[in-house]
Amino acid sequence: MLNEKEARESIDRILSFSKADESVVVLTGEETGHARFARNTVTTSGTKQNVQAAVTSSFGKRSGTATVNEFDRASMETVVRRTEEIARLRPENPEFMPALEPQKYTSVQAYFDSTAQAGPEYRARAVADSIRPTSEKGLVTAGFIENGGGFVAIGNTKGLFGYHPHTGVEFNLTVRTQDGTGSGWASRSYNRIESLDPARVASIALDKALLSQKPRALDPGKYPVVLEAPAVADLLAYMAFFMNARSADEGRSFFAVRGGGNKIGQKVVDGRVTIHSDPQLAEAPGRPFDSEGLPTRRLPWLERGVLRNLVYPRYWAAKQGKEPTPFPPNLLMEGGKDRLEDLIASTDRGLLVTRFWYIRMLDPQTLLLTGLTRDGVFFIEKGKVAYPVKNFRWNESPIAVLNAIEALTPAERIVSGEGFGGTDTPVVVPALKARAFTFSSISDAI
Amino acid sequence: MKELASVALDTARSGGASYADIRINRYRNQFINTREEKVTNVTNTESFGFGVRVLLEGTWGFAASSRVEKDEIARVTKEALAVARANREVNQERVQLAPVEAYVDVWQTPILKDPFKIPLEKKIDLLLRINREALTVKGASYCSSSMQFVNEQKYFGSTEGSFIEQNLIRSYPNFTVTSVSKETGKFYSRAAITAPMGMGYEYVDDYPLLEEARQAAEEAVAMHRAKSVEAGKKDLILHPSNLWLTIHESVGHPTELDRALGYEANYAGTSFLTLDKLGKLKFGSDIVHLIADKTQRDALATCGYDDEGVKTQEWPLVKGGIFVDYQTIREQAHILGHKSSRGCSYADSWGSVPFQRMPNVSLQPSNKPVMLEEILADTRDGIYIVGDSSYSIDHQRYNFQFSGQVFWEVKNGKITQQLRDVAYQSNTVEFWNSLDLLGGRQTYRLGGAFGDGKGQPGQSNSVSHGCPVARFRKVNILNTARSV
Repeated sequence: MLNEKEARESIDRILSFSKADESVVVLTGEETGHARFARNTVTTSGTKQNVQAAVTSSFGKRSGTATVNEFDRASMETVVRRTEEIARLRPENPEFMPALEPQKYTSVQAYFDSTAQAGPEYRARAVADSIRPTSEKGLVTAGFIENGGGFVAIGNTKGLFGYHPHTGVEFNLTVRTQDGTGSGWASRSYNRIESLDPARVASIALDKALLSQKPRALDPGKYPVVLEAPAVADLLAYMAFFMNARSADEGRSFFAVRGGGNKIGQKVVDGRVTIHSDPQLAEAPGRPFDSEGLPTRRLPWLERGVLRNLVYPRYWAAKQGKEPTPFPPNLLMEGGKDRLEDLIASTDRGLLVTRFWYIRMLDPQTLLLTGLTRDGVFFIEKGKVAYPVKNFRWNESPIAVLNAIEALTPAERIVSGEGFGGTDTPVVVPALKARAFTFSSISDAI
Repeated sequence: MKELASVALDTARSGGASYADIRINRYRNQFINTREEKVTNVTNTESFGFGVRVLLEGTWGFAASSRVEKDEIARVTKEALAVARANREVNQERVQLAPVEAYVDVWQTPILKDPFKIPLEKKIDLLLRINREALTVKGASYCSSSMQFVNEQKYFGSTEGSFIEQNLIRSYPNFTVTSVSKETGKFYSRAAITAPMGMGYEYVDDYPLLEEARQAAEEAVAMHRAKSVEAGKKDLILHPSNLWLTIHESVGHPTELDRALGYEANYAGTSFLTLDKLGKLKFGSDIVHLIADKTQRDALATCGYDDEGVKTQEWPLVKGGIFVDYQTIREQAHILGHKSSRGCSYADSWGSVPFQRMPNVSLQPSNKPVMLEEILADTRDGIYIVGDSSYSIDHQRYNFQFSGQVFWEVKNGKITQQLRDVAYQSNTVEFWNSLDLLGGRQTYRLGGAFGDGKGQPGQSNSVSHGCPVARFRKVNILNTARSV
């Protein structure tokens, strides 16, 4: 793990070989360790150390990029020559953007020594603490813990420099009943390892496994739905992936306007939906700059249902006369005041969904997604969880769900079923109740 | 290399390990991306490092570093031993490795043209010509194209006495054409049906990319006028460029033994193909023969030896419709009563722990020379699908839903018109039992993926699936059109 001074020295050393008009170096490093467990025992575990440099050199409007993870003099010089060779051989890119001048980055506290230092003994203890309560109850657990530190640094021949150290711990597990009829899951991600209580997270998965066992088959169809926060996070993530101004302006996105332009300024979802990013949020810090060195900042994406911003890559921003806007460093959705119990209590007939799985885009014009439920779906009757039901395949658009909101819980930092919301791009979202959600067929998977 | 490897193996032995291996690997990639008349990205990546795996009293430990030096190898090996020691108390299942022969060998993907030696200008020129060709079609709005080339230079040494050097090459040209209608605000895309291959640049040279670019553009434009499909049960005729992905998801993954046993329960999931179904379950109709093969020429998962030094092989997974075998690695063989591993161990990087990954899994064609035309002629009410698109399957591999690139209505033995908004949804066993007509060897081709995800931390595997054109009876067709 290189500190700021060492990272700057490495970048400067690489840049010193540059004969190009401009060169940029993005240096990343990681020191991580992980442990996996399954069938109530530890399985594979390991540690990894790596530092890598991505170098981009350009002559006029021609640029080339190459990466290397060897830092002897010859390797560093070779990688720079390689980028220059690529740049010379390729045609000009009319969309080329020159390297950024020095930028001012917000200070983000995302690094904690304790998270970087925790070693194999810590992880073995976390594994043991997760397995003990589940095996005592005759259940079977499988899971994963990973912790460590890393950094990203950027520098260029114009004097720009940025350094961002970060740490993270990811912990998730699945608890299943011995007969395979019940399954529960929980997942957490924190920058500071003290925030993680493996036994508490394990108890959430354990409770779900017991509650979800022996599910009944319920007819597929449209149901009012209470989506727990991990399910909401996946819907937001898939919407965020497609929030690109260029695709919208080119007419190939849900955010496009027929005939040209995009939906910025238009109300696209329910007025209770407000989503923003803020790299400095202490409980879910985001990166202070993107891979090009563009600073991230507090920014609204949706405000009371109105689209406020889309991602503007630098070239497209310049062409359209807009501010360049990087992909969100984190996603923060405002919650409401209801508790999850209140959402259930206010539902006469509906479904409670723990999380989603295997989500894929079906139609980008409507953001129609397909996916499955996993680790607990429950039928709600007269304000109470009546019984577990079998998993469903669903076909639904996040836009439709965010237009059908009835109530929201306070937001919390969580990780989605598809893994969105780790320390790379933290997510803080509420659980929500929506008027309708389309479940299209039954899945026998548990 | 052997000298470096020996540092790890000796350190592990003297630290009490009953088994150890080291992989010292270099990975090279080239990515070239274009859109319309512009080259948007050219990147060459390279990553070098080593990973050491030790088995201490039946418990695994692993550590990896990018500093390939003797003192670092010794330090990292000790760290792997420390990981194993920390986990020893928690471990309830002592690892038992199936025996393996010691091999000293060199293996190389059989290629004709090394893609890393082909001049960049030639590749760029072809990509820009693809874009131009697509955009000559009236109504085609955008075309992006790309090439990716992969080279894995792998050195493996183990305490079994194996020292194996392998050089793997893979190539993948691709493009997508999009047609936007300003009048309706609708847009449709059609991606190439090229596949990533375990081949050199000869694949790019021999593939009719320009012809397909024009055809793709025409089909994308025609989508605006195509009929929105009527939902319901119809016969489905799948081109190999679509069926490969269905094989991957519904056959490749559920026949992974680690999934069946619960080792992947927390991420990718388990499998409905539990051990009690082995040799008994009627997985498909009588004409369904599915084989696993890590030796198939041109296929992505093909290599000489797996990542624990097991020589690669071919074996049946489904024979005459009956589920007969799994994919295994050394520590799993004894569970099935096998004497040796099937050779399915793979790690996607020097820094990743090797574990059970999918070999090439392929559907065998008919022995008769059945062509697509005969299958179409035999179909009264069906849909013919070319190319893969949206794909999703549950975590035990029962319920799946797939879409495609191009859809054709088949009525009374003939293709009548282009369709849109099509997806098919089924359950694995029901689907494979509905297969009633197979194309012959002439219709067989390989599809595949570079990025098959599995494991924690996530790893990516390259794998191919060969198949002929095939027909499935009365499959549930969905209409995916929606207004929001």
